[in-house]
Amino acid sequence: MSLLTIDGVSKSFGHHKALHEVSLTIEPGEFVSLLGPSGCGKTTLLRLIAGFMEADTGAIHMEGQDLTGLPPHRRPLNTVFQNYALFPHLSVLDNVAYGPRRGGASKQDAADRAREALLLVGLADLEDRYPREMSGGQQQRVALARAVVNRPKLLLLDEPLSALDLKLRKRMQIELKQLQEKLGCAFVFVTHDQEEAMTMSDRIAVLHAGRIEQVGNGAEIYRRPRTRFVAEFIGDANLVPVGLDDAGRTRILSGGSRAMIGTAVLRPEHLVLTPLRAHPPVGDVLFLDGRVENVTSVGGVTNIYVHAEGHDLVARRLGLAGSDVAVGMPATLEVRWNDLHVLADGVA
Amino acid sequence: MAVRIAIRFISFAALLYLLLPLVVLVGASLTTTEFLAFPPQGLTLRWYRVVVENPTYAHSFLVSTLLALAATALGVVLAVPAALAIARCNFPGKAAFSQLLLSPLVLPHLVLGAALLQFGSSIGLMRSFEALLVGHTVIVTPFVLRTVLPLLTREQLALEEASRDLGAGPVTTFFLVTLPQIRPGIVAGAIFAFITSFINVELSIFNTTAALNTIPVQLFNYVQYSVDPSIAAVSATTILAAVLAIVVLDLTIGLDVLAERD
Amino acid sequence: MTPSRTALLGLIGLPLAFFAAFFLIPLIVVFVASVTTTEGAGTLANYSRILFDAYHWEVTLVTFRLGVLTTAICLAIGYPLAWYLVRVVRWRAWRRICVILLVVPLFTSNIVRSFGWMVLLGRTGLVNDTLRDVGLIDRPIRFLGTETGILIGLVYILLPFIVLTIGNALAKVDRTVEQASADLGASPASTFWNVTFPLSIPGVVSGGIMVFALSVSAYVTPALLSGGRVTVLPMLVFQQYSSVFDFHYGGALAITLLVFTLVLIAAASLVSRLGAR
Repeated sequence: MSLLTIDGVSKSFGHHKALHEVSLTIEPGEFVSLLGPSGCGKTTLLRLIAGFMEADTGAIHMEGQDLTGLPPHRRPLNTVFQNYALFPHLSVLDNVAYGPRRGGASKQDAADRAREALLLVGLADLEDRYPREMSGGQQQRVALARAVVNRPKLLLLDEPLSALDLKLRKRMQIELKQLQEKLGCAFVFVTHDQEEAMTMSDRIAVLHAGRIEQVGNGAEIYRRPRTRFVAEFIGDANLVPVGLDDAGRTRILSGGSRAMIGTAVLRPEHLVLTPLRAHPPVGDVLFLDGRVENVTSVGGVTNIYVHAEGHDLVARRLGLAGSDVAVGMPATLEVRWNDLHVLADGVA
Repeated sequence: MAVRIAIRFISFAALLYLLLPLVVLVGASLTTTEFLAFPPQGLTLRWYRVVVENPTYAHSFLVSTLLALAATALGVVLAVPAALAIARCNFPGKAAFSQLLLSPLVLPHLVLGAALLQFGSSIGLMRSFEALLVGHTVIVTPFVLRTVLPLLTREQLALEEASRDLGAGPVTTFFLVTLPQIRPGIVAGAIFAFITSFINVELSIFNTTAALNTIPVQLFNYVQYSVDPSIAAVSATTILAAVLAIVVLDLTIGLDVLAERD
Repeated sequence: MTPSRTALLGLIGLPLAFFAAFFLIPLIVVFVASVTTTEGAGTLANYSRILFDAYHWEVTLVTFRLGVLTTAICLAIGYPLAWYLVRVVRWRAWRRICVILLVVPLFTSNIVRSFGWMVLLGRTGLVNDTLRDVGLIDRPIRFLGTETGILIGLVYILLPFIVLTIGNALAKVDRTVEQASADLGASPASTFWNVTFPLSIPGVVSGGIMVFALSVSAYVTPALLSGGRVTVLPMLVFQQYSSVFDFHYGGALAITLLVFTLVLIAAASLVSRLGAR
């Protein structure tokens, strides 16, 4: 049985429809990211699961139990809040022991369990501190310990790493993933950072304007985005119109054409700059002729901007730009047919 | 559920309790009887005419207004430079200086009034408009200081530095850049100051005489000996003036202090 | 910025001189008078007169009792009302009206407010009439000239202070902290007692001390509602200065009242500063 089933959930705030018929299932022990730009409804969905809001329509079940109408304190799951929401008047130990105490544990028992959870997040020696005396990263760990101390089967995390600096965030991503595997509990992780989602998740649900656009693992979503939004939100994408030629084969169209059947994604790293213009396309390869418009190098990566057959395309290669590329040079891009992916919502 | 009902019950009762004396005074001022009656028996504005035609009231009203205006003006003159010094300069004893200027907010006014009477009697400053004025100035200055200080922010300092950088002298900068920014604080502080002075009894009572009396002290004296509906008419007038002042304040600076911050 | 000495003097010179002359020195004069005799010799007789006199103890006790009761009642009514205004009222216009209702009394003279209660609490006032009509009493209760009457007036005057302080503290409580509590399994009542109430304590304490300090130093309300039958400390101070003209003994009374209030105010500001950390 699935751990969590979200079934056709909608939520409106006044005239604004925050969530539109959203359905999603979470399996036990799974790490699922809800990924999308701000305002896409990801946090609303999380708050519906936690019980801080009720859905207008649809239902959420956990292990077969309908959660509708169940107040947050009766729901068998826990949350890590975006700003951590630590109790400012309680010490670290009391913050973490809060859950077990409410669950009826004795003071001693609750403290023992809290210490165990603090050990898990590496804060065993700071139990007497108060939240305001700690760094952002430490507060984050306290919030984590507090949320897992009751050993929930499902943990909700609302952009827990967004307040941390880049270096710490990278480290916490790895630690979080390890913690999740150790606990064996399912994580629903809200983020707007695609890299973060890619690093940690088993599956990613991409949200846009209150709808789930696509659910899948990182590779699927990157290689086979279902919609234009997903293609552009995850990684960089060249979008080109495609149509059928007389032989009924898919080909890239130059500019708008009535023969267009859809839009295809070309990832920059799949565009290869070749000095040679081979004869009529051989096998599964396709050539695009054009001119280099700009070249930029960032770190170990070079982006080459090429205007080819009516499209502005970007190709990417590792390493610095060689002597073979210069602005104004004629250039030919080579693409393998297999790397061309046609979107489901492509027709503009 | 029971708790929620109890909270609502207590709240409505408390709001009624807050409203009741004000309603009673406005109501009693309209009675046609010679004595105070609530609910009023019949409706008349004749007690208001009695008040207007009574030269003692008219004179006290004039004294109170002039006193409040003068004290407020002096308070602004004292508080604005003090606020500038506290916000912009570092000097030894700054904390003590601001504490000194703010402490009349919390000190018993009765003690201050007594002290001023005793001190004033030794230097010949007593039972005069000036004697009232210095006391009132002391109690209203902190109100202006308290509303102006929060407006002298760091961003504000950057604007002043920009002005200096563009060639304006300190005085020009004050009038062209600083003053427009702190004006809302001065206005709000001045309103609080005016009202504080206008309704004061505990301080004025030591230095007023039969010939030089403020409205509240006049009322205080009347209320202790005889009570007729004209006193209710004066009270009702001050209540309506207060409501008016509050609505103006609400529209200018916003009084919804209990709204939750996001 | 380190301004020149003259610029600084230009800014603080006048306020400092004014407050020294008409605030600091007068208070010092009162203090000096309180520890000297009419001939100018140092003495503590004025204070021992306060300390060893049964009548003063009686007056202090009444003042103190009124202060404690006023504070307790203000808290008992003020907390639910503050909660109602901050947490229950969702309609902005209504909350605005309520806040105006709270602030109007602060903008009207103590005289007017106490006078309203004189009218209400009289033998044939609205309160007695209503109680009789409802059948709760046969004969009118005497409120004026009793501690009960003064108490009603003091609570009335000081309630807005406590509602505004507690309301402010409640409005500052982070709602996500309460959600975290619910998320961890605490019922609404448990969340209130374990999270919300502890976080509002600084407001409760500083508001309570403020009300206590203001009620023990109140003069007008007790003077009007006591009808001369009940005496509180500020009334003694006033008598000495306005009719007896004994500045030495009056000074000792004034200083006693001042110190009493200042200690409480200092405690209140200490508490709110600790809470703000």
